[in-house]
Amino acid sequence: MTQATKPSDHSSLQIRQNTATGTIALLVFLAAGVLAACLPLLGNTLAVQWAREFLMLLALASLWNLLAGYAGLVSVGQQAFVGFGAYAFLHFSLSADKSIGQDWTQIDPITGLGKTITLADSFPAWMFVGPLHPLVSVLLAMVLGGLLAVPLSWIVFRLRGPYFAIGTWVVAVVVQLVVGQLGWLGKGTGTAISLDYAFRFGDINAVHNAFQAINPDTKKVFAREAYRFWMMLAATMLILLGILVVIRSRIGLALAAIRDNEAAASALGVNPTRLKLLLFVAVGAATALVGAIGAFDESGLLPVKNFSLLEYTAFIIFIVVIGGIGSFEGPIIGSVIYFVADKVLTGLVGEYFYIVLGVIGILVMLFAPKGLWGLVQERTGFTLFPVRRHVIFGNKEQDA
Amino acid sequence: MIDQLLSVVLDPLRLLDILIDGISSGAQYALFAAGLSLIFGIMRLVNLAHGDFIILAAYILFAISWVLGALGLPPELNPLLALLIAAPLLFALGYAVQRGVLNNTLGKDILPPLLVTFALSVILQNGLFLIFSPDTRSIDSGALSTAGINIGYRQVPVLALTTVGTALAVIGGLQYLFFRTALGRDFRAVSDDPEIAQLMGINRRQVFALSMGVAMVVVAIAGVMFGVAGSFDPYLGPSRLLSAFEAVIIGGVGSLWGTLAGGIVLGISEQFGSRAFGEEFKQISGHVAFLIILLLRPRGLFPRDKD
Amino acid sequence: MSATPNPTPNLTANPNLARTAPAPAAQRSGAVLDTTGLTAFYGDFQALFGVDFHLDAGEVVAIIGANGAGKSTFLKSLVGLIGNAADMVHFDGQPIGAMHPSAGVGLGLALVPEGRRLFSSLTVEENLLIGGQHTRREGPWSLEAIYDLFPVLGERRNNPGQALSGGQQQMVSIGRALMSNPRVLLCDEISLGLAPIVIRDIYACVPQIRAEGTSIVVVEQDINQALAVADRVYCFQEGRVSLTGTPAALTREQIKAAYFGLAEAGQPSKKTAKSKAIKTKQNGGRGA
Repeated sequence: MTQATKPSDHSSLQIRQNTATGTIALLVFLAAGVLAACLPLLGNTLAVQWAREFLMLLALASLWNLLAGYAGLVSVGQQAFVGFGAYAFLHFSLSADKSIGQDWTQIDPITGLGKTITLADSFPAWMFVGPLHPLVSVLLAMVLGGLLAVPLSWIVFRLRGPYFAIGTWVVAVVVQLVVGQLGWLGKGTGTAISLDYAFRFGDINAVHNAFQAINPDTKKVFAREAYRFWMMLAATMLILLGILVVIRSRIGLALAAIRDNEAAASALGVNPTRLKLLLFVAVGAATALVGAIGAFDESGLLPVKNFSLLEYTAFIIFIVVIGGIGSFEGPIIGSVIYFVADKVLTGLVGEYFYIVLGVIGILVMLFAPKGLWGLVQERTGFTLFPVRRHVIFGNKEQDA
Repeated sequence: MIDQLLSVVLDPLRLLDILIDGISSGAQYALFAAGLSLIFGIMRLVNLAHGDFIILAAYILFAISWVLGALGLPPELNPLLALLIAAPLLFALGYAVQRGVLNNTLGKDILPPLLVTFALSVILQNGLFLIFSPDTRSIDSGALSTAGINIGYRQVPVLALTTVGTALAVIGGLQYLFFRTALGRDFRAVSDDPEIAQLMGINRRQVFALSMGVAMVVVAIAGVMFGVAGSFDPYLGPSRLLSAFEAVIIGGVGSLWGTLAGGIVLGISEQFGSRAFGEEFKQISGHVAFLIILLLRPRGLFPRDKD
Repeated sequence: MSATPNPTPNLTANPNLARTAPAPAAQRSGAVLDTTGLTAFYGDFQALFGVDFHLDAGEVVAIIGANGAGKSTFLKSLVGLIGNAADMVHFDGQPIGAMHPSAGVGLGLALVPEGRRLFSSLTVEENLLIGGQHTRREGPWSLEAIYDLFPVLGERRNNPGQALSGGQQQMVSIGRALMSNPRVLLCDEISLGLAPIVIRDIYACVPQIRAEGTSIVVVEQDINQALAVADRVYCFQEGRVSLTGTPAALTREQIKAAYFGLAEAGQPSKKTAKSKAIKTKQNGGRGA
């Protein structure tokens, strides 16, 4: 409290952010990551798939929460980055000599088939640098996602408040329509990344061999699924830690200042627009990364699926709102609840699931706007990942 | 592609086609947008379920037609008659949703109303899906859907003229309501200064509920015109919302006639893109036109609002 | 602190007394509007500390005081813009402390808000009309009567309110309040930012309004203006009534003391620091 601070007090003034619970929570978090990494050793495909789906929800929810809950940027267009990341990944898996069909006007006398048309026949060969290693591809997708966010921000940052929300939505539709027009990426009718692609690379083969050493029946698909899961796990852990670092840093403090009073914050030297832009770009990049990892999959890419508003934004918003918007813990709780509900309830209530979800979302917004985690905190004052700073005057501690 | 573009640009009749069809679809967009514009103007609320309510209105029409058929009557629908049923229904629905739910979300924080209307959108889409199945539906409006007027080299559908006429009437009507009636004064007063408006004895919650009701009547009109004009399925709401939103922004927030102009700009851009580059470029041309205008004139073509 | 009533009933010069002085009878007979121990808060910040006030029928009462003394807060509390316990404010003997702000106009309580606050998208005439639109109270005031009172408004009836001069806007704001035919008219700083000659014009209407049977409360920073127009004066200081009396009974020195708090009142009170102690505990949830 400011009125108690005289200049001479500063020698005895400390600022502390950590708590014992916080340290323990962080260790538990890291331990859970290590433990989760061992999951594929069980050899259960469904478990690995479910775990990866959960991680994707968690990562997307935490990222959206950072945008909307901390920076006040209510985006309804994050699916643009998910889909863009997926298609960027697809692009980097392509090589110029990939066959895209047959020319039946030139029939090969021996095989009786039309002449194979390659990508290089229809598009400039320099466009295709692949096939790149999946790890390289997802990182490139991340960089491109960040780059995409820059021009998009020029457009959406011209809109304020609720219009920003619809603006991001329009922009996402445009990105989807444009990607859907790109011939070499399947032109809106969908395309798949072949299993062979993954096994061009030594380390994925090594993973497969290692699994076969445990269980000789291990399929290639499983090795790829495990590899993808590890990528998603690593990405999610890094994203969560990154978010924690951001909201505990001066940036987090500045965001809180902007949220409380934008004019006052800018008067104190915080540049709200630049800070929000930075966050928009960073979240765009991370979202594209998650989307790219999600695309490393045999079932194929389709614009309507990979740019799904429902899947990558609507449900994500519900997760954050139900869990608790504007807190680090909220999206984690929301993801767990949503994931369990999705797997259990969808079987029970089928299509009513979405309606139930919508109704719950509305009820939470009306009666517990800080979500379930907010309720827990109100009752107990408990926090797992401390973000607040505690000012210590001599030996008296106070919140600040 | 260039050849196709030139063949369109250099042919006055094809340009006239673009103008005629662009204006008629633009009028439809303006109808979509009028309700959105109205409630944003009065309570700074963006209803993300707006498009879904339009589709709901079309389905109400479909249900009426189905009931007529089930009763052994000819299922052809007189749109005006259908409106007499759909409009009060939607007015009541809008009033109830505003009073019961949305009024409790309005405040300094923009998040609650956005999230609640977004949830409403998901509920409406899936509710329509459950009741009516995902099949594409259309409404038999009898002669209206096929009639045309010969203008020499082509037919102009009567439906297109009706849509333009309806859009003009709706926007003119809203202008009248807004600037010539006591209720309109309340609407504007609440929008200008909600605190002082209360001191005039105005019940803000009631005014908001009434304005949502009025917006829903416009939605009913838009839904009827949309339902009669073509086929629809439960998931078309969001794209209606986006067209409406683009029309509002292009025209300039707060100006109803601007919204009409915005809708027409959007319609003409789509028609031009579709004819010059191919049908698959129709949607994207509209969006790109919107983005260009937003970049060049962020406050729209006819800025009016003070904030 | 003494609990004995002040010997001179119209004079309460000690700023520390107002708070603990025994409350006058809650419903003074003849008082059309009165408050008893009225407190008001902005969140955790307390702005009023037990204000006792009454306004008799047909009276003109002025409230003076420095910036931040709580004058505007007091008026906002009267009309319900700041919620209170119901029996802290009585109108005609009826408890209205907890009423909704939209209810006052129907009872006959109208406010001319600080800064005029005309509706910017309404014309002059529409601004006036909306003042009387939501009440059926009968009375002398109508569009014609307002245009008689302020002829310039009639000439500019179709202009947007915002296009008028400051003084004319103030006339519209007063006219808007009168359109509801109020029994009590509350005027918040109606002279603020206006030229002296314009202020004189505006105050010239007070006798006429009063003649129609309306009681008036004017909040003023200009002490001379207040003393000239009012039957009685209340002086506010740091959320308390520091002085009340008839203009004739008050001396310059008393007013100065009550206005600026330079009185012999003794030690500077701790209440300012206390009231500003904002509870920060509640506000760290979303991460500071």
